[in-house]
Amino acid sequence: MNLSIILQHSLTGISLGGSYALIAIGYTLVYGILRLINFAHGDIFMMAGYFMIFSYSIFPWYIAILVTIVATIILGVVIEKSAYKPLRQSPKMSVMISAIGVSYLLQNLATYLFSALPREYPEIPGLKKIFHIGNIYASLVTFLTPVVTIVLVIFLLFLINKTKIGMSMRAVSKDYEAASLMGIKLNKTISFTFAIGSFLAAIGSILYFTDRMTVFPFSGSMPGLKCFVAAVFGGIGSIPGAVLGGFFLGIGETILIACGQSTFSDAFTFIVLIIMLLFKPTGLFGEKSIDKV
Amino acid sequence: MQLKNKNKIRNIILSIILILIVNGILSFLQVNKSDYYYIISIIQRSLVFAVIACSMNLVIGFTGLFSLGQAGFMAIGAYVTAIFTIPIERRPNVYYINGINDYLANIYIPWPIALILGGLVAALFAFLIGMPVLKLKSDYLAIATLGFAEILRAVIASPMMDRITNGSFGLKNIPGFSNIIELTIISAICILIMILLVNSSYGRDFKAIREDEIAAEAMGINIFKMKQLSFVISSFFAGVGGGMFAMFIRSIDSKTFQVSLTYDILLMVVLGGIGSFTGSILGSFLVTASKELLRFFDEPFLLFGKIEVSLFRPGFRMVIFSILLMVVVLFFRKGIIGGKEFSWDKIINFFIKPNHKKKDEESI
Amino acid sequence: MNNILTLTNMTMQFGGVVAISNLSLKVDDGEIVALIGPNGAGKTTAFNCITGIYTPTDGSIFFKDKPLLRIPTYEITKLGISRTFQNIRLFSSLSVFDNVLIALHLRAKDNPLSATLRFNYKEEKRMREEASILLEKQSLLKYKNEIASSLPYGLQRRLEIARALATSPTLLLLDEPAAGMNPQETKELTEYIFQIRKEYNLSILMIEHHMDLVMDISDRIYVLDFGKMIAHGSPKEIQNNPQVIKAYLGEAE
Repeated sequence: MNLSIILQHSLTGISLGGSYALIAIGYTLVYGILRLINFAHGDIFMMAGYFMIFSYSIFPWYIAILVTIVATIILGVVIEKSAYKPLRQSPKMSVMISAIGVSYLLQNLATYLFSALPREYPEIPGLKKIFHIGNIYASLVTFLTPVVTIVLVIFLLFLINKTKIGMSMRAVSKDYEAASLMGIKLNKTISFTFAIGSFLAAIGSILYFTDRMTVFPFSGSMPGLKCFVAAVFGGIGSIPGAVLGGFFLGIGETILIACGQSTFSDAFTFIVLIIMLLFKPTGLFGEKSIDKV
Repeated sequence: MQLKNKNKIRNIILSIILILIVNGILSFLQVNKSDYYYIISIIQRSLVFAVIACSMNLVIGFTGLFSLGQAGFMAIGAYVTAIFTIPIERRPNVYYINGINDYLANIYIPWPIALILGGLVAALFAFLIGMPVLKLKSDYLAIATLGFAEILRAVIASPMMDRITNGSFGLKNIPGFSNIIELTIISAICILIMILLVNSSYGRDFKAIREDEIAAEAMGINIFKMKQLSFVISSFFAGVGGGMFAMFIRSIDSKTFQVSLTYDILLMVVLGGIGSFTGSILGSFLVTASKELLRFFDEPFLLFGKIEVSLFRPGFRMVIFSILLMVVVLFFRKGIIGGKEFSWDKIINFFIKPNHKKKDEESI
Repeated sequence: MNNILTLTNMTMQFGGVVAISNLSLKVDDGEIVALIGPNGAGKTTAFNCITGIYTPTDGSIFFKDKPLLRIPTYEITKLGISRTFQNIRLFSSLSVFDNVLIALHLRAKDNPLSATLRFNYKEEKRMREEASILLEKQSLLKYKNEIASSLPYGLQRRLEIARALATSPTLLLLDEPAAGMNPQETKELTEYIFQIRKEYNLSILMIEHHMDLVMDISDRIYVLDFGKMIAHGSPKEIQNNPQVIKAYLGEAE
C-alpha cells in the first residue's frame, strides 16, 4: 500500500469521523445533563435525512438545508417535552425505556411513512464534485466535513463556556437539583440542550448522507450506537472527548474496511467499548464521579 | 394455621384443574391440527416469547439491570440448536454453497440437549460481557449488550462464518416440535425455574440490588457476583428461548435477530408489567396474538369496498405497537396487571369478597 | 479489654477537599462510642471509610487484627461490621420480613442451585424463624408483611437496626439513629441501644446530634470539626471542653 492510498483512506476516515463527532456530541450533552442515553438520537439523525429528501424536492438547496435543521430541532425538542419530561421524577429505567420507545416509534414511523426501501439522498450542488490534491481524489464533502465539524465544535465550546445559557448547562450537568434551586430554568436549559444536539445531528446527517447517498428507516441505528461509544470513549460529558472519539472510530473503521475486514468494522466499535470499559471506564477526558451515600 | 393449610390444598386442587383444562384444550387443538393451524402457531409463538420475556424481566424487573442483548443471546441459542439438530442427511442441502465445517458435519445432538447447550453458550457470552461491564453503572450494560447483539449479527453473516452459520443464507430444515404439548411443557419448566429462583434467597438478593445497591452491599451482598448471576441465568434462558424460537420458525438467518426483536420483547415485558412474570407471560400472549390479529392494518383497507383508506398500509401495525409502548411507559408505568403476580388467593378473594377493597382501606 | 476497631491517622480527600484529616479513633469491646460534631464535619465520611464505600487516602483501619483497607464492603459486613444510614436506606418496596431475610442470607449455607430447587428448605426455614425472632424482639413482627416504605418513620429506623443486626455483627455503626425523633422516642431509643448491646454482645460506634442521648449512652466521645478531631474523652470531659463548646456554639464576642 503506497502513501497516497494511505492518505486517501485517512481522508475518508477523517471525514466519516467528523460526522460521527457531530452526532456523538448530541449524546454527550444529553447524558451530561440528564444522565440519559438518548437511544432516539440516532433515529433523529435518520429522520433528518428524510427531512432533507422531502424539503429538497420542494425548495432550493439552501432553503432545504434550513428547513431540515429547523425540523430536526423541533423533532428533538418535541421528543424531550413529550417523552422524557413527564418522567423526570421516575426511576431511571423508565426514562431509558421511554427513549427506546421513541427510537422504536421513529423507526416504525419511518417504515410506515417512507417504506423500508432505501431512498436516494439529494445531491447538494457542488458537494459531490471531485477535487484532487496530488494523487488524492475526494469529493468536496469529504474535505468539508472535518472543517465544518471543527468550526461547529469551536462555536459550541464558546457557547458553553462564555454565554449565560452555556453556564446554565454546565451548572445543570454538575448538580441538577442545586442548579434549579439557584434559579436556573431547568426545562429551558434541557430543551436548549436537545436543540443543540438535534442541530448538530441535522448537520451531521447532511454530511453523512451526502456521502452515503441513501436513507432507510434503520440507517440511524448503527451510527447512533457507534457515536454513543465514541462519546463513552472520549469520556461521557466531555465535548472534546466526543469529538476525539468520533474521529478515532471513524478513522479506525475506515482503516479496517481498507484492509478488507469490512465485517469487523462494526465489531471494532464494540471492541473499543469493551477495552475502554475494562481499563478506563471514565473515558479519555471523563471525570470520576463520586456517588454520595 | 389450619385455614392456611386448607387454602394451600385448595390452591393445589385448583392448579391441577387448571393444568388439566389447559392440557385438554391443547390436546384438542393438537388432534384437530389442520383445522386450528393458525391458533396453534400463535400459541406456540407466544409460549416461546413467554420464556424470553420472563428471562428479560429477570434482569430488568427483578435485578434492575437494563440489558438489551436479548436478541443476541437468542441468536446464539438459535444457531447452536439449529447447527446441531438439522438432520445430517439434509445438511448438504442447507450448506449447499460453501459446505459445512468438517468437525460439525457429523455431530448430531437431540434437540433437548441442543437447547441446553445453546443456553449454556449464550450464558458463557453473557459471563464474558458481564465481567467488565457489570462493575460499572448500569447504563453501560444497555449499550454494551445492544452493541454485542448487533456485532453478533454481523459476525454470523460474515463470510468467515460461512461453513458454520451458512453466512447470510441462514439455516433451514431445522426440525420443529412434534406437538404443542411438548413445547408447553418446556416453556413451563423454564418459567417455573425462573419463578423459583426469584422467590429464593438469591432472588431476594436480586431484588435488594434493584432497591438499593449501597444498602444491599452493606448487608453483605456481593453485588457484582449477584448481578453476574442474574445476567448469566437470564441469558441462559434467552438462549434456550432462542433455540425454541429456531425450532418454531424452522429457518433462521442473521436478520431474524435484529434489535427490533429485542424491542418487541421489551414491549411484552413493559406491557405486562416490569417485575411480574405473570405480566410477562400475559404480555407475550397479548403482543403475539394482537400482532397476528392486527395484520389487516397492514393491508389496504377499502371503505364500502371502494374508497381506499390510506392509513392502512405496511408498517401501520408496528406504529400502533410503538405508540402502545410509549403510552404504557408514560401513563401506566406498572403495566396491565400492576406488577402483581398471579395467585389463587387473590383471584378467589376478588370473586368471593367483592368488598375487599373497602376492607383494605379500613385497615389502613 | 480488646480493641475492636482502630483507626490510625486516617485521611480522606476528595480532589482538593480534605473531608477527614488524620483521624485516630478506637472502639473497645463492648463500648458505646459516639462521634459528634457539626454538620459537614466528616462523620458520615468516616463511616463510609470504615465500611469500605470509600478508600481512605491515607492511614489505616483495623478491625480486631485485620486491616480493612481495600476490602470490599460486603466482605467487611461478613467480618462483622454492620451499619445503618443517615437517610434510611431500606429495601423500600419489599416487605419488612424480606428486608430482614436478605440480611440473614449472608450467613446462610446455600447456593443458587440448591436455593432454586429448594434443597435448602431447612436453611430457608431456619432463616425465616430467625427473622421472626428478630422482628419479634424489635416488636416489628406484626408489620411483617407490610411494605417497608409504608412504615412510620420511627419504625423504619428500627427496622434498619433490625436489618443490620440480622448480619450478626460484632460492631454496629449507627448513623444518627435518633434523627427526627421526639424526646420520648429518643429516651426509648436509649433503652433500646443498651438492650441490643447486651443481647447481641455488640460494640457500637454512633453518630448523633441529640446530646441527651449521646451523654446518656456513650462510654467515650470523639468530636470532629472540619474533618479534624478536636477532642475526645468521657461525656463529662467533653461537656466541659472549651474547644467543643466553641465548635458548637461559635465564639463569644
